[in-house]
Amino acid sequence: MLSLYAENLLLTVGVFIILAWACYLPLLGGQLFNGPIYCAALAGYFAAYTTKTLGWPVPLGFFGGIAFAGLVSYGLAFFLAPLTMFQMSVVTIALIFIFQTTFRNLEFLGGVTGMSGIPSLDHLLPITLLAVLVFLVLLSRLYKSRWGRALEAVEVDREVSAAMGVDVNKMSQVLQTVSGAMGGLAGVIYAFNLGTIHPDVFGFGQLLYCFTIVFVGGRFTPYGPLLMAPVLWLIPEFFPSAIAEFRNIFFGAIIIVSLLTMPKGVITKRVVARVENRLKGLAGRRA
Amino acid sequence: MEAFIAYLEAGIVSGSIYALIGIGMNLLLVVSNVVQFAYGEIVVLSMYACWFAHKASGSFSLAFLTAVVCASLLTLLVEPLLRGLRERKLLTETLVMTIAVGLILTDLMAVFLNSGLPIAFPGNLVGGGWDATFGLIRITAADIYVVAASVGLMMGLVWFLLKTRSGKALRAIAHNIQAARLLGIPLGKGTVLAFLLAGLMSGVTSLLFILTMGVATPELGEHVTFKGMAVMMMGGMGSLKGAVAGGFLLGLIECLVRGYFIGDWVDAIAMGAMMIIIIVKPDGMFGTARAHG
Amino acid sequence: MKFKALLTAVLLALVLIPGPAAAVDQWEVPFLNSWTGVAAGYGKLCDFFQKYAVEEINAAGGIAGKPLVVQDCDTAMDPTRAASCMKKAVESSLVVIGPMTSLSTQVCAPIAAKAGVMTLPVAGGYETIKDSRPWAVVLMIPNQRRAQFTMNTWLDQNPNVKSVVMLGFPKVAQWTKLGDLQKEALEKRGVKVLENIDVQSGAVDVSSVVVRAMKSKPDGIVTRLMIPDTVRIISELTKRGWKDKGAIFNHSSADSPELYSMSAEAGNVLEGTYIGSWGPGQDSEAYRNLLAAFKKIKGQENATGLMWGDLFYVATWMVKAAIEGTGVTGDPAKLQEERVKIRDYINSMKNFDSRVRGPIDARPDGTFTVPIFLARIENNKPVIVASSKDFKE
Repeated sequence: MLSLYAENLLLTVGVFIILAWACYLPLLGGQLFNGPIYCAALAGYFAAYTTKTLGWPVPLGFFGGIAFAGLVSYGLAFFLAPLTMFQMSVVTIALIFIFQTTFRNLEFLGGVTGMSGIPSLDHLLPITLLAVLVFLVLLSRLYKSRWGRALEAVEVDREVSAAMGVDVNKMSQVLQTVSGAMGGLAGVIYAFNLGTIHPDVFGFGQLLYCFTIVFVGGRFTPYGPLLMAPVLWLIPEFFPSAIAEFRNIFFGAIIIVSLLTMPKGVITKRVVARVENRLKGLAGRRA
Repeated sequence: MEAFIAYLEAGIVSGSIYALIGIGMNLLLVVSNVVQFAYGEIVVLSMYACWFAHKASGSFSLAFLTAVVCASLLTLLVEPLLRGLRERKLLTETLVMTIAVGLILTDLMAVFLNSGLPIAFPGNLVGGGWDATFGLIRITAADIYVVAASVGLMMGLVWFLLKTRSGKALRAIAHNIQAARLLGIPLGKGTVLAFLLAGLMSGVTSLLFILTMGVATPELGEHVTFKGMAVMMMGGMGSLKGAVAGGFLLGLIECLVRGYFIGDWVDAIAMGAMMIIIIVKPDGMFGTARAHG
Repeated sequence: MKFKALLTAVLLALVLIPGPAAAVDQWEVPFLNSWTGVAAGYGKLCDFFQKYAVEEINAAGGIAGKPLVVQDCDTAMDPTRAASCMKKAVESSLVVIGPMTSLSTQVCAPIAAKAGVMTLPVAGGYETIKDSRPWAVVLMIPNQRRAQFTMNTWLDQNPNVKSVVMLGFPKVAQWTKLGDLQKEALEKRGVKVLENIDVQSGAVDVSSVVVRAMKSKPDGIVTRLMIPDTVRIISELTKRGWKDKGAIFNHSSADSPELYSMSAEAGNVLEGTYIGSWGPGQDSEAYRNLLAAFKKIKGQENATGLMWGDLFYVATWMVKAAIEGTGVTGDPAKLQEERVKIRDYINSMKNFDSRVRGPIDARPDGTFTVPIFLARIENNKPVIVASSKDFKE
């Protein structure tokens, strides 16, 4: 039986892994899509409002939140898909602010107070761990698959890829929808874990934090965010309280040192290939 | 009508400062491939340096010089951290690196400087010591200094880039780094010069903040950087002209929204305007695909 | 390989699974506060007050003869971190002190309530704890009473004020609610609220806000702003010709020593304005000693009173009173039962000697009768004009 604290740690790390993966996925296709952040907020508020105010069953609110975020992302994708990387980044950053301000000014969603007293969801931790596992399997297969190579081609040169028959817009729409739904999942887990959702939680600061996880961890494989999310969350958590005032300085220094020594991230494709070869070698020896 | 003119005046003043911030950040982007997310923190830390220098010496001149030197030194100190990432053209990674630098600088201010409490500058300094009031319209000496300094610096920068050897070298590096290398332009010196120029601009920006705002808090740095990013995105990443246009546009939007609409929506509306500009003009108002000014 | 896997499993188990609680030979009380983040300066002051109380308590023999040991947890101004701190805190503690900010309180109080642990966030405001009652209290009078008292007594000093413009920072829930209650109180007195203007913190320009305020030609101004913005806005109002400084009211969250030092630096801009003040404190040795110690902190040398952070001092003494008053033992086997006793004791406190703010009572809604004052700022010091203790709604 896990302690409340341990369970919360795992859930929080799970939220950040999923959110970081949601930001990582569109990057594979050369898109700087910041939608997971506002999708997390949308899903969190949806789940909070439907379960707390409307009295929906909690599982319905949970899945409804994810679906809602995915739908919004899908709808917006029709407009966002043809945009360049720079355009998409700018537009989705703008949307983060617009959604945040909207939530802060909607009284029925709690306004500046946000919503608390959100009912809890049973088995939230196993659901989260299962989701992380499923995404890990899917993402680790994706980047080596034909789809993954197509994404990489689009990232390298969008026009050439389109000329060679890759439906770039459709690919972008799919990426954004999935990414938005993943962001939504992170949002509902957050809301049901803490029992609270607030306009300030999923904002520009959260975006920067996710970027840090992805780029310091390594944006070329899903293993980078998987490793870095718990590391970046847990370092401050276990920092000695006697020197707590140096915590952020230490944290910043770690990021700087990581990027200086491993500019492409801690886990690159080369690292993954090396590990895989080693594992194959070990398996071969055993056989 | 009076109020409208007052809002316009305020928008021009704050727009001038935003333009300077945008120019400084764009200069680093276009010459050195760096998105300097600690720009705002450097500006604010320089304000703190000015405050401490004034407390220690009682001299405004020395305090101002301290601010400019502090900003320049801090900007130059960041350069080696970014060198490896720049050379590999890892643009987003430079953003993350400078986020980390910004975090450290913010914490230095929040934990160690003035016990983390906000600072205020002498009342006779803020506003520049002179003003003329016409009903709701008030023009201060500081407003004039801000606009003059911003315009002067922009013109000075343009002259430097167009007329001096070093400036031409910087433009060459920004335009085509390989060609610049082949032509024997020292890239390292060029980059350091760009950082120095950006540092000087951030130092001057800190002085303009002192004259107009008169206060500083540790979290102000984040706001300043955010404005700079908004200006860059509106005007065009890497475009110096765009930074000027974006800066003034942002300043005017903010003041008019505060004047006529709900203040809490300022950021959202500014972001919305930015979004519309980018959709209509994909590289920003004056940006180009190669992102140089 | 197998040994490594086994070792990893054992280490994980040690970290993740709670072990049996140690026997109580000291009282371990978690304290949630912000030592890092942009408000670290205020967090350090709150820490000063809290640790001062711990020193006093331990110097006087501790709590029921055992020392009080505080387990600090840095919420870093981040609600997610605050939640993590609270979830750690509620595992085995009898009572929790903190967290510091309104947002952290909103997140943490429900966690404490769900776990059945009493928490004393002191300053979050009623709105942040109302859904967590009776497991959380705030050591302030209710905002309703605060608004009624400050607006009415301020208007008594300024009978010519018939219309006001309100200027508020829009991102703190408690302040927004306070603004609504202030508006109600003003309108009940027949004063018209012409505008309620949002003022963003850290904006380069405040003149457009001031122009908008002055455009309506109000008789008075009511502010609910961050300290630097309070100084800037009033400075700008004055420079633009606002004459009657007494017709400007500043809310109590601004009443902190750095407000006065910033005002002095800026040219005594707040001179003659009114403020909802935390007051001079009570006439006691404890208060005098605490104030003297506070003035030794860098930057607080000119303090004439304490800021709201001293409520953590009061909260710590409340914890002592609750533990001794209920006779709880700290026995882990009786944890839930003893938590309920602590909760009921704190919620029914009457005439509790706060040592620095006079005797205070718990109210049914979770607020306390900690007095608030109307003060006029003279020579950069708050001079008390009226006390909420004497105020009849």
